[in-house]
Amino acid sequence: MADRFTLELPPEPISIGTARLFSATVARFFGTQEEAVEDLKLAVSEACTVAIRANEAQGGRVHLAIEGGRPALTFSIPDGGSASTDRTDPLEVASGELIRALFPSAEFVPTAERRADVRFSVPTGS
Amino acid sequence: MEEGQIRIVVNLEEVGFLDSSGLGALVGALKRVNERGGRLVLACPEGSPLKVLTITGLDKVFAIHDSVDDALRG
Repeated sequence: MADRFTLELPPEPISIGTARLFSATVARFFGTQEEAVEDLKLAVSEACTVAIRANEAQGGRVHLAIEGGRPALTFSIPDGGSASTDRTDPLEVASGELIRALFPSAEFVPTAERRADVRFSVPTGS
Repeated sequence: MEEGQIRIVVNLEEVGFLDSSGLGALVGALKRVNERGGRLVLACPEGSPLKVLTITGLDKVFAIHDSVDDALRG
């Protein structure tokens, strides 16, 4: 059975560092190589930044879920991406492109208007 | 500072993490300095910050130097 780790944070910038540290700690525990951990930290930071912007006005919470174990962990951040096709928000465009560059198989699953859940996987140790 | 006399070196030697928010701050600073006829250059990016600069193509936008001394001279 796969392990599942979840984190719920207030929509404040300080939460980004917490999400990054939490993600890196879980990945290292499962033996992810350090270079991939650095990529993971960046992708989590980008997705959480977008999720905070999406939730701060309504006071919603930012959620991060990690599932799996060996040979891979899957990271999910609801509202961590934009589903918009007009691409007028430079921050969300940059964040999405960085995540796709780091994890080409990352998924952006449209949910509510203009929002998308972000999912990507990192390999763990054998 | 008079126009044309501004030269800012951003030393990234001890910066271990840089995301799009940090890039936005750097690009904003570069734009403001350029508008005043000055220069803003980066020194010593390594690891993840250098990778982010490369992925985004900003390594072609910023002058990047291996050391602060080079950045001050260059």
